[in-house]
Amino acid sequence: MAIPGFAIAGELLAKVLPTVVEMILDAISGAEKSAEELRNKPITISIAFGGGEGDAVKVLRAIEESLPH
Amino acid sequence: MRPLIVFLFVAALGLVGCGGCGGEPFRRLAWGFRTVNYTAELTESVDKAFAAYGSAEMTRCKAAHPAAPPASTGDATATPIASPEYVKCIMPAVKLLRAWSGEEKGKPTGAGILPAIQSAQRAARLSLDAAFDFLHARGGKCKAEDTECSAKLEAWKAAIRPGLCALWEIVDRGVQLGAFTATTSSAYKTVKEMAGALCPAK
Repeated sequence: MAIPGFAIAGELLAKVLPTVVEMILDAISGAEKSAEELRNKPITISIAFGGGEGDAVKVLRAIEESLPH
Repeated sequence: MRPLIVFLFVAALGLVGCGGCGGEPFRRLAWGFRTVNYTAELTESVDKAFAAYGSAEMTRCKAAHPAAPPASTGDATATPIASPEYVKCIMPAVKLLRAWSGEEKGKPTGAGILPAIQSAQRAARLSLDAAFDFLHARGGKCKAEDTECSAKLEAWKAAIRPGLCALWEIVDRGVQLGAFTATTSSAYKTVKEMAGALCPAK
């Protein structure tokens, strides 16, 4: 029966909707939190953001020193 | 029960279709931050791999083609001169390291991949930071049809593209030479995926 069905659905909705809305809002704000955490994470990789010249160039210099000038 | 299920389904569709009700743009930014961080991680591991490769090649080539005293003097105490065979042996490593570092005989060539990726990463991070601030100021609202918003969210890709494509080429060359072998790492796979999406096909 349609009307009793809707009444039951309405009751169920009233019970689960706050939880569903909370879950959805968590999912949304979770994405912002993830982006913010990634943005604020200190970068520990040294050469990638210009923090140093790296090891490869030092090896290159050693090799070039071994070549005939 | 069915009306509830229908309602929830429609609500979920509405959220997905909203295309920017806070979640999706931030997820895109989070992916951007992760990709740039992976690019940095790959840069670091490539540099170390190339350094190890260069050292190993120098040891191998010196052992295979020992230097000899200058023939003209016959003086055994004179500084040994590298043989042409040694030079030929070590040259692939030298070329790779010069292309990577952008230095040749102590002078910058202006064509190094490492300086290029460093510059690109800095620019991409600035773009991502700016996009985050922009999105945050708008409460995460960024609809798909909003061109200003889309431009902000996508700017980091344009910033990192030149460095990323150059990085990918030299990683590829490094893999062929055996200088770089960490091809199952997340950083390698992520950069490979990005290069496939952003860089021109060869």
